[in-house]
Amino acid sequence: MLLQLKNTSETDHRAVPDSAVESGSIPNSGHFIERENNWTFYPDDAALPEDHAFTIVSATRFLERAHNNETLPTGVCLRPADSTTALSDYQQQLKLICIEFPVYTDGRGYTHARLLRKRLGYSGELRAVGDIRADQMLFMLRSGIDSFDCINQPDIALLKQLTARFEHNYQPSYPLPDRAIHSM
Amino acid sequence: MYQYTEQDKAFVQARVDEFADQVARYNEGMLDEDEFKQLRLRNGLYYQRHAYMLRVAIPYGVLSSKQLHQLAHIASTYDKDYGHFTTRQNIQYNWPDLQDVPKILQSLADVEMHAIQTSGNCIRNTTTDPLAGATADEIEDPRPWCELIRQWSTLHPEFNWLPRKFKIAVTGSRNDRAAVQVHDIGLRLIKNKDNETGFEVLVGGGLGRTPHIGSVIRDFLPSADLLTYLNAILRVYNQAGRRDNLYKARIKILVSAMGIDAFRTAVETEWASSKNEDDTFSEETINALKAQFPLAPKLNGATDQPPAEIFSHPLFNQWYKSNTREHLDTNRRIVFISLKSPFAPAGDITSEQMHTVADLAEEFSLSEIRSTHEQNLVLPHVPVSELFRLWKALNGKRLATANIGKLSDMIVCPGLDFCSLANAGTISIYDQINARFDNLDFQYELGDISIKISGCMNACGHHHVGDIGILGVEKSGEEWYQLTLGGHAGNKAALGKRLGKAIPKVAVADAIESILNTFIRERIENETFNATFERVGIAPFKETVYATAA
Repeated sequence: MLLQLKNTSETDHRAVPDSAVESGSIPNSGHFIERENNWTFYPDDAALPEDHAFTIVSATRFLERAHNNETLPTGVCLRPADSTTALSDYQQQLKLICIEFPVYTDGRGYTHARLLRKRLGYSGELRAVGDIRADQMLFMLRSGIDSFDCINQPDIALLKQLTARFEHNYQPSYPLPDRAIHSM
Repeated sequence: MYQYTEQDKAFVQARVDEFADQVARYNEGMLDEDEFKQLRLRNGLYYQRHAYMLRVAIPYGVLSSKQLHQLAHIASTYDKDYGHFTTRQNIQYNWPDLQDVPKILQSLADVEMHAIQTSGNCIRNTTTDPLAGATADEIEDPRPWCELIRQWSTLHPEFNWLPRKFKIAVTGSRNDRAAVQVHDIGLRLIKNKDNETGFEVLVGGGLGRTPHIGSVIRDFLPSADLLTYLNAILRVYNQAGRRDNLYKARIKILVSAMGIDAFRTAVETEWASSKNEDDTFSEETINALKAQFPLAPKLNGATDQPPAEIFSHPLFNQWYKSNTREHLDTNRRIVFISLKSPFAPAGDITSEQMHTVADLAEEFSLSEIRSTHEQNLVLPHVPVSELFRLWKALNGKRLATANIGKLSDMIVCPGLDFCSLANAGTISIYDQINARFDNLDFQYELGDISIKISGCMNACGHHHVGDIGILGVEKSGEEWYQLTLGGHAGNKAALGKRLGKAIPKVAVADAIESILNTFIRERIENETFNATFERVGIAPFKETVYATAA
């Protein structure tokens, strides 16, 4: 199961105008939900299905396919050492970008998220994947992540409590997405 | 000094509640040991050799009387009636009970204090000149800028899980008393040729097992760009810093591996894209912070003569010369309170002494106290006419040791007695040196000299930048000590040179004595140790120390 901010599901991921991104808020409007994960990650050595609609590949494979003019999946997964800017030519075609956290103490993904939202202007679903702890999710949301696929998924009540704790923060250019979590 | 806004208060309260909740979840088994460790570290809570240790932030070393009273109250209520001032201007409690820590954090929040980011791989407490706002050699008061950095770095969503800890120091003075060259980022307030204020920015300095002097990454950064530039440096570090090896994860290793020019290019490229979007601040913001740090009111009447009592009280005279410094108002003096008496470990202070200092600050120093990275305290604004009364009061509480800058004003990490990393018992070395050189007149003859003692390679005692550095090492289960000479942390920072092979514990005081005798022999007139060392080099010291040992 995924935890996700409502209204950023794959069906209407572009519903929020780009201006919202430019002004620093993260696309969303509303509640956190749990939903099924329709997407599949294909490791680099696995054959890809015909239909790429819900297919995720590594950034390396994605860029290789782009280089070879092959059809592109709509999902990509960034490892900590990958570059976000390499995706800048393709972000319009992407519906899902996953940021992998192999261990929760590796903080590179926060910068990935921030750069994807701010630098590339990516407004699709941005999903944190891997070893993610409940007490970190507030910071992930503020960096631009809007869904979570965790090894140990926290319950939604705890997430709601943790992400609602701070009314104020010292970095106004990293806002919590529209106080969405309060109304979960 | 800075007063919390309603938002600051609510924020720190939320942090207290958050930690209480984390402790509760840990007790219920909902947080595993490792995750709880990461979370508690970000509130300054370590688990040390014997017990938990709580490190409380003293932002840029500034304390009010009310706050110091509260620190004393915490020491007497929840700890063993004392606290320990660290080399990063913070205070540590060595024996708190985990279940009491939320209550301690609440007591801190009640007086606008916290323990946020005093440990963990995140941006630590920003440090500065303990004499900020009180000296004539200042270009601008660094404290408003430190407060700005404190706020920016507090729970920054992007930089809370860095490769390693990250320390920023700021100096506003021409004479660096904040050791900015040995910090991850060092900031020097300067004026450019158009008389605009900005920062010289240094990066990649640090001590530890691979000491580096910081490199200049930018000659002049307009002050309005401070946070966006810091953001760019942190972002490059967060992405490129090594995470595969704990000992190679500090920014100094990255800067040295890339070379300062390539690192600068990476930062400037990042900054060019982000300077208008991330963490900008308005002129009103910084002006409002500046308004919170007014100058001490100018005193009328008196002259700039020393107090008359120096002629009748030799001990007072000694203390006046050794422990007070010029204030920008000639009718005031800056007073140092030495926490290096022979009766207690360096940096330690009892609850009773804390209450005394807090009361005296209220009476004589506009309720303001500073902590220094040399592990002493400062009353920054004392009227000259009150010095004698102040001295008498301090003297009655063993707080008037007249040794500031002298041999016995040693910097000492907690060592084997408290720290789980240490190889060596630094406190016993401190005692050994104190016992050997108990004659203050001899210390005055030597002039300013610094001994800095670290119990392990992590160099919390800053041994690399001591005139005499002492590093504890372990050799087949025994404590040995490696000496370095000629280190320096001021304007022209230098790392000490290794004197030779390590010496056994019992021989440390002998070795120091040989070094000092060589200094006295080689010294010309009133030269400082540093000047003599620069002139004669390490050879004569090596000769005498190892001749004695053999």
